[in-house]
Amino acid sequence: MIRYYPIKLRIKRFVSFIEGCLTKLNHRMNSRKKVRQLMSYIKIDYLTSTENKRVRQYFKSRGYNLKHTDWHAYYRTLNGELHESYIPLGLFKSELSPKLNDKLKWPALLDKNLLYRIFSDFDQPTRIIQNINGFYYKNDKVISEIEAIKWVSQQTQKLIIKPSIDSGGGKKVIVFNVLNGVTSYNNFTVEQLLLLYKNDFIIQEFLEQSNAMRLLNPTSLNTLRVISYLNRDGVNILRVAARIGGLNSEIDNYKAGGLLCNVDENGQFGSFGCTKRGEIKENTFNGAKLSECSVPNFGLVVKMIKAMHIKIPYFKMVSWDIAINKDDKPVLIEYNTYNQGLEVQIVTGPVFSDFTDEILKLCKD
Amino acid sequence: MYIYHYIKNKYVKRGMRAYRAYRQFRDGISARRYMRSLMRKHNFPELSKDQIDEAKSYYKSRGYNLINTYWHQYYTNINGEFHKEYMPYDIFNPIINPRLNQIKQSPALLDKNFTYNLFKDFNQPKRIVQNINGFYFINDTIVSLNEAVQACKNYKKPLIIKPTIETGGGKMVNLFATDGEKTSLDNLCIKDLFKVYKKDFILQECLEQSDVLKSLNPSSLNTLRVVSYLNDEGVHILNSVLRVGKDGCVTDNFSTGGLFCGIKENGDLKGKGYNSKGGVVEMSYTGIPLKECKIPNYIALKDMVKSMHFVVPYFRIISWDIGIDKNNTPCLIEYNTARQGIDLQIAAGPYLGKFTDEILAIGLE
Repeated sequence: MIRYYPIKLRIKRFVSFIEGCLTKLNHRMNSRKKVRQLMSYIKIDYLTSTENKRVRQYFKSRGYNLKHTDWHAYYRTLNGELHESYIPLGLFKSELSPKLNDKLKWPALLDKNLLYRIFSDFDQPTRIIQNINGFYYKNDKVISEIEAIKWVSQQTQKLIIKPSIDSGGGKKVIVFNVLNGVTSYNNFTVEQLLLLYKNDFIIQEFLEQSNAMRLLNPTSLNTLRVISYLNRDGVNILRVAARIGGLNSEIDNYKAGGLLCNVDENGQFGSFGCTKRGEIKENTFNGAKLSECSVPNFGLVVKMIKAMHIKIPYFKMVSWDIAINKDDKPVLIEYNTYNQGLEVQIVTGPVFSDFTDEILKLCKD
Repeated sequence: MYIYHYIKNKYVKRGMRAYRAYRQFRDGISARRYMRSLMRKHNFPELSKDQIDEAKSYYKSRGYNLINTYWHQYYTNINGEFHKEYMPYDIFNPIINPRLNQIKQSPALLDKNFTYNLFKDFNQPKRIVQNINGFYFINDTIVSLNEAVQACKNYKKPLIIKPTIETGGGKMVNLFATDGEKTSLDNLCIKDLFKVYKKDFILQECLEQSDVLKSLNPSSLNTLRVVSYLNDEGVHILNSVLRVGKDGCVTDNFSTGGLFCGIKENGDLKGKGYNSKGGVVEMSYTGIPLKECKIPNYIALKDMVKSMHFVVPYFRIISWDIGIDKNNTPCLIEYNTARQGIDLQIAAGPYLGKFTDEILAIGLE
């Protein structure tokens, strides 16, 4: 027993060291796998040795060792612009994100069920039922499974069901209708559908979006990805991109075939959009010309993000998914801290914008 | 790269399982080590062979291997009552608690700063300044360090300062008054005091407690420790005790010399107080007979606990620390999930009360 404790301490230190190294390695390897997969879709315009040297030098002078410049080549190929300050995903996830965002806080604070409590003063889609750790809730009151099934069966409007934790990339997000207790998803009964998700999910009303956003693609809920950064001066908006669903798709995710398009500080769309497969488009799948589109009430979106970020100061950099409802008001769909993608850089330019040096320095301190 | 992903997919789950088993082993051995040192200090007599057999066969019949009876021995020797259902910490902490409570949610949801957001509909001590992840807040608005100092300087009543994360056992909880820039804590100025706590702390107004609880020991905030359990039928109160601080102490923690006193269903105190040194008293340090005390608004307090538990269904067993203010209204001080002490069994009887069998069965699922 006496011998156990010094050994335990050593094991503990060793395990946390190995854990840290493995996590970093894992992020780097996942990032490399991802960029290679993306590069396989298009003909890559690789960096020349001078460009390569310039990019590596940029990061080296800020204390970071860049393992490869594939991300820079990928972004440059798609948008024709080479910026040294593009942030590679592997570097972001392994070194920057853990310093900016408290990893221990994310499992709870990213739970979509908890958003209704954290951001109770902000517009969110109407919730029909929630399942938290196996318990069903209707308007913050616990109800039985039978009551939950009955309540969902009574709904006549379009609904959306999604996991509330460990979700992302539109995974397991289903849009459905209910008629006589049978859903439009594979003709499952409501009970069968709920069983499919087991624990920790939410059923919401499918949001009726603003006309301006619906025109981009009427089948999907088209949202804005807004990236904000909290520092001593307050909340700063780093980048904004619109995410438009693929043809006949019900979700807007880039990974699920959607289109990404830059949105400037006035809410005006950029001139081109990009798909996951690297296709550059000037029009949406629906034929709407991107350069002629703008986000209604963009000022309200910025105001809302600034007010919401203050509620979760545990995270210094947050990616928000915001929809615009039929009254042209912003609605919070979800936010991301741990698994933030950086693909917006294709259309927006370097993700940290004017704060690149500040953030890179902060993460080295 | 492909070899890496092959190895990862094949071995990560096994690695995680091994890590969980190691943690279970580690928690069990730590608990036993602590209890053995306590037993050595008190030199309590052994239980009778019949008592040992009874406890072991009770746990065996429920699928658990009771490898020692230290906790039964400790509790029985202090309060003179043997119960086979006493919960040993080396079973509760490594087996029952992780099964019933989602431990990964604890760091965020137990943050004392976050409880103001989570339980905003419930009475809590007035917050003066909060530091969340290094940012200062007054009434949910981000402020500068100077504004935070000014708010404390202007506050004429005594203040409590405490860390908001990784807290417990009254560690770093201090009561102080301000006189201009100076505090009564080692004559530190307010800025230096903030430096001691670095980040993630809170300054609250010192709760003016109910006359009844104040009469038992005026130097400490005397709180109730209430244990609640959530199942399909709702929230149940498993146990509750009153905690009275040691004479001259600011906190009421058992580990810092405080008393535990059991509470009857109607809110009357059971009449005997127990301290961690094995002492039994019938009167408080101030000379008040415990059996003559009645907890004000005990029913409302239990209702408050039940309502609050529904807010955090991620945890099925929670230990709540509840104060009672000068208007006899219950006030949430904090709650515990990941590291719940179970020593209140000394004053209240078996920790899981009448739900022992049900919860032990869940622990094995």
